[in-house]
This record gives sequence, structure tokens and C-alpha cells, in this order.
Amino acid sequence: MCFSHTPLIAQSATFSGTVQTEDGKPFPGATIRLSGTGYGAVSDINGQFTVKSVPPSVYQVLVSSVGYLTQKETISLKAGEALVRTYRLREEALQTDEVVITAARREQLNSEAPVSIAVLGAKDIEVRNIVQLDDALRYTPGVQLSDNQVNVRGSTGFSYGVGSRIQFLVDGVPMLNADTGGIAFNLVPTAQIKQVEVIKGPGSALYGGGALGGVINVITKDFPEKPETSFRSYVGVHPPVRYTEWKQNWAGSQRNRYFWGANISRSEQVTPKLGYWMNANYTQTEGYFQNSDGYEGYLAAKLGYQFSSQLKMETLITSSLTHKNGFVYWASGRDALRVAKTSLLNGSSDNEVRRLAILPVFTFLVNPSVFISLKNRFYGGTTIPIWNGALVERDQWTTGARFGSELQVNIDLKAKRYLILGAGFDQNATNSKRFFGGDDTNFAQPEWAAFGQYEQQLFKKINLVAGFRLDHYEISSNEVVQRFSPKLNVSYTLNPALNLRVAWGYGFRVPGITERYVNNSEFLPVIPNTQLRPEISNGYEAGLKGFFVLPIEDWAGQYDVAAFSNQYTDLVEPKFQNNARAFQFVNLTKGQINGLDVSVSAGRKDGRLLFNLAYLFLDGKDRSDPNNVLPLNYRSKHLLQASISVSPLRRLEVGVDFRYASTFERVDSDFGNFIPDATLHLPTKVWDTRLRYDFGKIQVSLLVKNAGEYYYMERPAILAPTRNFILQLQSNL
Amino acid sequence: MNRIHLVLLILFAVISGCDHGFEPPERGKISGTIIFKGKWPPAEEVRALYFGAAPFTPCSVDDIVARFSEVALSNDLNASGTGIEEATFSISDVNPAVYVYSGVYLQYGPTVLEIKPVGVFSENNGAFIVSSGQTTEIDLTVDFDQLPPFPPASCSP
Repeated sequence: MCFSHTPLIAQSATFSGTVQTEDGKPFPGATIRLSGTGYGAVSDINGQFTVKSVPPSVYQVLVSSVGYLTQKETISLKAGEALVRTYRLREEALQTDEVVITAARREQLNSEAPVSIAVLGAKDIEVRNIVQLDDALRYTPGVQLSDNQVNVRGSTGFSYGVGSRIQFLVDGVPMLNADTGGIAFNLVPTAQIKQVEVIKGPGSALYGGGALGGVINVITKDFPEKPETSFRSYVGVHPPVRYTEWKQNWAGSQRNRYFWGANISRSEQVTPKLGYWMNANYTQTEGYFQNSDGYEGYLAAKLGYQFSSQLKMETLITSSLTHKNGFVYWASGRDALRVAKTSLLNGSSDNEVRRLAILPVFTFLVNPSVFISLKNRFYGGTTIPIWNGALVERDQWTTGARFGSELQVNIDLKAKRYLILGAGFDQNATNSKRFFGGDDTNFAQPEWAAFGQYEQQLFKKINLVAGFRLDHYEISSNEVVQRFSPKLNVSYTLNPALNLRVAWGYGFRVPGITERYVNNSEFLPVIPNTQLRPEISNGYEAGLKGFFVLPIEDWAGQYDVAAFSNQYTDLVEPKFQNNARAFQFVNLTKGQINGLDVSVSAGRKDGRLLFNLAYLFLDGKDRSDPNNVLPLNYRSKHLLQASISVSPLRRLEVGVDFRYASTFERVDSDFGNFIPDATLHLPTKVWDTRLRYDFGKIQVSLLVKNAGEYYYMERPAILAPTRNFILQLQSNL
Repeated sequence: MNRIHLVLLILFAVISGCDHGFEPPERGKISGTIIFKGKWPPAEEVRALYFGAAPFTPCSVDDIVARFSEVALSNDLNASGTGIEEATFSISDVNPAVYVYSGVYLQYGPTVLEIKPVGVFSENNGAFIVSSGQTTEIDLTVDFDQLPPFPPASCSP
């Protein structure tokens, strides 16, 4: 690597300026980015920003902040120039046009993204007392959760927590667990989330295995010019349930069940070269049913250092510890708060889980048109069973680790043409005597990948994106899996307020180590299946996104409508094998999901009244047997999410969220043969309410979750959270 | 403000309405047929015959007595006298659960402690499930010439 830094620094320019509100007041905390490069800044308390040592070139500037209309401008920087600009951000109650990064692996406006993408902002997380990211996803259009398993447009159903059909990224780095292939949401520092982007539809052409049904990318915050410290704490209570039958067998159900937590965060740009944030979180719960008490916490930090005008490093380190009794399934529907504990069935899984992730990302600006990023990761975890209140011996621990790197080159070919090329490597290994049994307890699945994407604007209105990814998995010494995943997206900007798009893409997922090798009878008898094939998806979508102004004064809104059709082949599901008297993960389902995904947001431009409505229609068919087409397991046909936020006073905000999901069209009867009432399911009808008062330095919130005291199940044989009251204090210093 | 208060009041009235979703479901039922084979014991040693299903494996009669409330018991199958070839039973109001040890118990003395199994359900390792609102059918054969071991083999250390 012989890039010469000195000449570029000698010829560099400075870009500085001020960000103001509409009425000319300083605007702190706005993000200023030179699109497609690593250059950027956050405005300070006076609204001022400076981006130093910028190579001369033409750049697109994006100035954004949540709740304000993103400003976009093209600037030309000459050698030695000090360009000064002033930007005025107009308040936009609706987050109309966020800058997103996941849709095309480069920064772009959401309205220009050629795929369906839902964005969740930091405020959505803060006001709802979101302790763990999966809670936030419940409010995302097109997304349904089965316990903590994410279901984007019906892609996942429920697979007993094993294997995610959604790729999960943190700052663009894949973070699926090495062992189960699931998602560890408690590792994500919620107080430092800038936004969460959810790509709806197969995304393997960009992000490889796991992106069968979509991609979630958590983008953490930048470092603010002015030091920021925030503190959040809460205490909550689940009152006793209303039915005597559920209370009579567990004394703990007859009193209030408490939970509480605290979160502290500090962030700062220490010098022009050095910045950091730190975030610590602790939560403790008594659990609202038997055997669900425990505590957990995380420590996370991000350190950024600008080595030169071209080279920058950002390293995210996050570690978590969870010490919890686990309620896997109930004794029965009449005894729903008590865990199953018989000589045949064990519905509890008590574990301590320790996880650590270190994600160093280097970005290098070769020249104003070529930008390289090197994303590295080490991600490991250990699950330690708790037996009789104590951690077991080390030989019963399950340890999984993955490490790898991905190199990506973004080339701005000018004239609205972009080329992205990349390659990556990932080693994934797990050791578990407990779950794999037998003599061989070490398994690994290394992977290599190469990808490319070309993007071009035609006739100023059409944006064409074509891409591919080639993945090569080494399943064992004599078995490899190779997948080629193409994609093609076309968007057409009819006018500044309306964008049309069509998208086609492939997705796939190689079954994880657990699905392939698990050999355990702790909860239910499960035997290995080394012959599992990859799951494959093929998705089509046509959609439109637009803005509108209502004929009511100061009202505006936006909408997104998408019709989609996704075909799935070889979906892996657990099936009871009569000859072995045990469950086994097998390639079972050939499925098809056609649907409609509609979301509408509207509100007053001053932000004092906001309204969101999202509806998802799913027609999921299991076509494994062409002569007997059945509904797909664990999919709701209708999903409705609505929220309203009102500020009757300047400092007071009242909000209500509502979620509805119709009864699963079909549930897995194999599981129901072993667990009493496991096939029971009802529609979900959950109201959450919140009241928030801003005292200036301190914000106080009262939240009532599941305010209607509605009992329901998100997955078989376990009650979803019962009604609970939360008092939250938030302070930003 | 007043209008907002009204809206919120209506909203909470709707929220705290009648639909509370999932309720404790109905109990289940077990029914079935017992075939009797072999030589019956003397009538004075057959005070009663019951079909019983337990969600645990009893390793002694004391185990059964200690957790008697968890055992689903039929009416006396012997009410019509000894020597019958077949009897049917039906137990309603059964707690939904997985039952792992079930069979026909012979009461040979005046107290509940004086019982022994004379036929044990053995399909699927003896396990079956009772679900809410559903009837589980269990058929088994009692061979008085070949009584099952008690305590069962799984109780051996």
C-alpha cells in the first residue's frame, strides 16, 4: 500500500460554516456529510462546523438532523480553499427524507433508495423506553416479532430462536451469533443508536448469507463537537394477572412483579482527530412469570481517530452479560405463568451468556472519487448453563466465535455513476459438548465472498442499480456450498414528490452450526442433520414513495406503497421424526408470500401532532406439496401498526401506539404434540401509551405498555408481556 | 385542551374495554377402551379398577399419594363386576399437560395406599398429551397373567 498522503494534505481544502434554524438561530447537533466519503462533522453549540483537510474535488453535501428536512448541495473545493457556507434547516415534523446507507452501501436520500427501507430514529427509541432493540422493531412498518425473532414481510415465521432469516449489521458489520445464527439484541448500545435501517426483501446481493428476507442495519451515533452526557433510568411493574387459574399454582404471580434499569452515556469529539462515546446499561427483572427473573447489562464504546486527511479508524467495542432464568414454554394454557417441568419436558433454560464484539473499521480516501473501507470483526460468546443456582463446569459451556474482514471500494465514476467492489472472509466456529454431544464438539463454517454493484442515473430521472455477490461456504472438509446472488433495481423519479421503483433480488441462508449438528434432549429431543441445504429466496417488488400536502393548514405527509412477491425454497424447520423419536431440522418448505406493504405518515409541520399508519397484507402459501397447498406456519395475514403523538403543551407529549396482528394462519402441530396448548394462538391487539413532560434538563415519562391488559402469544406456549407501568427519567447534560 | 382530554378519555375507555385476549382455556378429556386378558384375581381382591394418568413417573405408591391431585382418575371400571372383557372410560375436566405414566390401577385394599398398576400405557414411551378443550383417546390392554413391573424400570438408579 503505497498511497502518498502528503501531496493531498498539502493541496487540501477546508469546508466550514454554520447550521441555523429557519429563524436564524444556531442549530447544534446537525450532521454535515460529504456524500460518498468519510468526511463530515457535527455542528457545535453555536451551530458551527469545520471539515478540515478535504481533498479538492466536487462533493455533494448533506446536512441533516432528525425532524428536519435534509439540505443537499453540490460544492466544489479547490486546493487551499476555505469554503464557508450557511445552511438553514427547516423543521419537518415527519422524518421525510433521512440519509440512509444500507440500501446501496453508500449514503443516499431515502427517497432515492431503490428498495423498500424503513427507518427508525433515535427519538423513537428514547420516548418508548426501548431497553433492547427488538422492542423498537415492533414499531417498524412491515416487521413483526415472534418473541425476539424478527419477521420482515413474513420471511421468518418462527423457528425456535435458531437461525435468523434477516441479516443483522451494526455499522455495516454482520453480527449474527456464531452458534445459533440468531441475533443478540442486548449487545446493541441503544442510547447510541443514530438510526436503524430495515431493508425489506431479499438482500444477499449486498450482504450475503442470512439476508434471506431482509437486512437490519444499526447505525451508531457520530461524535458531537460539544461533550454530551445522558442518563436514563426507569422502574416498572407488572401487576398481577386477572385470571385465578394462572395464579393458583405460582405464589409469585399474586403480587406486583418489578423491573428496573439505568443507562448512562457520554460522547465527545476530544480533538479534531479523536472522538469517542461510551454507553453502559444495566437492567434487572423479577419476571412476569415463573422462572424469568435475572439481570443483564452491557458496556459499549466507540473510538474514532483520524490518522490523516485520508485515513480514519472507528472501533466499536461492546460486551454484554446476561444472567437469567429462561422460560421456554409453559406448563399449559391453564397454567400459563408456570414453566413446564415434568420428567419428560423441561421448559426452562437458565443460562449466563457473555458476549464480546470488537469491530474496527478503517476508511481510506484514495482520492475524492475512490473510497475504501475495511471492516473487521471479532465476535464471540459463551453460554454457561445455571444448574441449581450455580454455573456449571467449563466442559458444559457452549462457545462460539466468528471473525473476519470485508474490503469495500466505492468508486464515484462521476456523471451519477457509482461502482462498488468488495471481498470478504468470515470464520465461524462453535464448540459445545452440551448441544453437539458425541466425540466431535467443534464445528466451523468458514466463508469467502466477492461482490460488486454498478449504479447509473439515466435521463436524470431513472436510477439503475445492478449487483451480485458470490459466496463460498466450507461446510465440512468434503462439502462446500456456493451461491450466486444477483439483484436489479430501477427507480424513476416522476417528480420531486413521487418516486417509483421496481426491484428484484436473491437471498439465501446457509443453515447454522446448531441446526446442522445439535444433538440434545434437554428441552425436547433433537438430533443432527448434516445434509441440510441452504434456504433460498427470490423476491420481486414494485413500489412508490411520495410526499403530499394536505388541504389542512400546515399539514404534510409521506407514503410508501409496495406490492411484493417472494418465493422461498428449502426453508429449514424442525420436524418430528417418528423413527428417531426426536425433532430434526430438515429442509421442508417451499413457500410463496405475496403481499402489500403500505405506510403513511402525516402531521403538522410544527411537530405537535404526528400520525403513522402501516398495514401489511401477507398471503403466505406452503407449496411443499403441490396437491395440498397450505398456509405458511406462524404467519399473520394482516398486520396493522398505528401511532399518534400529540403535544397539547410545548413541553408535554402524549403518544399512543397500537399493534394488530391477525391469528397465525397455521401453527406447527408437531410442537403441539409435545407441549400442551402450544397450537393456541389469538390475534394480537396491543395498545401502548405514553406521557412525557420536558422539564428542561430532565424529561419524565409515564408509559403504560399493553394498556388494554390484553393477553396474547407471539410464539407458541409463552405469554407475551402482560400490562406494565413504567416511570422513566431522562436527563441530557 | 378540552377536546384532547375528551379524545384521551374515549381512547382509554376503548382500551380498557372487554377484550382481554387469551383466557385460561377449557380443560381436556381422556377417553378410551380397556381390554382385559388373562385370569382375573379373586373378586374380594378387586375392590375397584381405575384408569389413572399421571404427569410424573411414580416410583412408589407414596409418590402417587403425594401428588394425587395431579392424577387424572376415571370412575370405577369394575362397577359392573369382575370378569368383564372390555370397559370404556371417559375423564373430563383433565388438566392440560403431558402425561407420562398412565394405566389401570387395581385397588386391592380399603385404602388408597393399597393400589398397584395392572396395565400400563406404553405407546410413545408411555407419554401422551392432553390439550385444552380436546379429547385424547387412549386404548390399552390389561393382561392379568403378565402384570407390569412396579416401580417402573425408569425409577431404577
